[in-house]
Amino acid sequence: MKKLIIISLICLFVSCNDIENCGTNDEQDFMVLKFFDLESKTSKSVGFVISSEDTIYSNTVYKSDSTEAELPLNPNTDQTLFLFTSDTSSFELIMSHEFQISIFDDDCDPSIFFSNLDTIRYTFDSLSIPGRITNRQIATNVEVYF
Amino acid sequence: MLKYIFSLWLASLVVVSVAQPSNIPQENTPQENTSQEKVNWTPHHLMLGFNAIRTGRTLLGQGLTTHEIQARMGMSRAIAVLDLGTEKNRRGETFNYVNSGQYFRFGGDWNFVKDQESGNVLSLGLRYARAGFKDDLDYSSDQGFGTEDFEFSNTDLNARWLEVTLNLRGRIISDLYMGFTMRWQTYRKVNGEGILKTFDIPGFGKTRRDNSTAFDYYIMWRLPLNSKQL
Repeated sequence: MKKLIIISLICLFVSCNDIENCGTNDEQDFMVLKFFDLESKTSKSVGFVISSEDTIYSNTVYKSDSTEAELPLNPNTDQTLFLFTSDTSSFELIMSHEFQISIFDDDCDPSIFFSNLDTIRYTFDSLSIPGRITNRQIATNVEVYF
Repeated sequence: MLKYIFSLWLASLVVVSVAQPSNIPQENTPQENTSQEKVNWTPHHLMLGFNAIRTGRTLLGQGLTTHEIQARMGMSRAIAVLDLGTEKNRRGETFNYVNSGQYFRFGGDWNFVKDQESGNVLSLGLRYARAGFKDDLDYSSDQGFGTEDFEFSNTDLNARWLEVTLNLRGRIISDLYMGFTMRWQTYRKVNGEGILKTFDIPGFGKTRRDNSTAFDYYIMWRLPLNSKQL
């Protein structure tokens, strides 16, 4: 019985010493949108100026040679409007969403994540939503084809 | 589901307890020579005390105010246990999170110490626990639409869980006892969450894991109820 108590105390001590790294939090507050060519179904590099409501995003939202963008969603409303404009074309996308907020650890900022992603309106030729929650484990939320 | 598990556990505890031969000397009665002696379930002592770790953490500050009292009633080698507690927790440097509420646990232990006169306890137990609480988060952030103030709250949260405990209580002096309880907490469920996912449950700890462990140290006073029963 004495051994059992000692082993239990060691296990308890180890379990109490968990230190969380904020970088291991998988929740994220933006959706990942990827651009595809409608005919070849391959990734497409774009040069859109992307804006949402009164905010014009810089090119820092683009990833992977501008074939995808990380777009913030507005937690104050249940939908977010995006405009994609270039010299030759312009598209519109309105996403609906819900969100939750959680605390990953005392030392990390609270994290917002979105769920039930869906479209209210879009002007791209085609669109699919392979990932309806914003999470690091989900590579793509929205695919647009044009 | 849990109440059925708890009921089954209590029922099995009673069955096992009744099946145990008693080693306690009895008065000379006609039943003395029978092969199975009856277990006397009359409560023989009551222990009242408080959780010293919770009180200690409250005195140390660090944003936590918590207290817990415990009552243990010994009936043969079975012990009925009731915990009542309160907790208010403040967290965050870049945000302000406040969680406050009350909780209770009740259940039973099986004492492996045969000498009931000593009042010492080395026991395994099972607890059913519930908490009623609320929480509130206030912080500022830029979500890509300019810096904004966010405030979220849950005003009517409740949670329940199950605990398996290992308990040790030893007599220090007279009727003063001290000892620890180690808890393995599982089958946690929270109801009433809104946009804000709660971070703490009073009496349980952080919600990040479904299962958790805890260590509590108790200082208790023993009140003999009927010494003739021993």
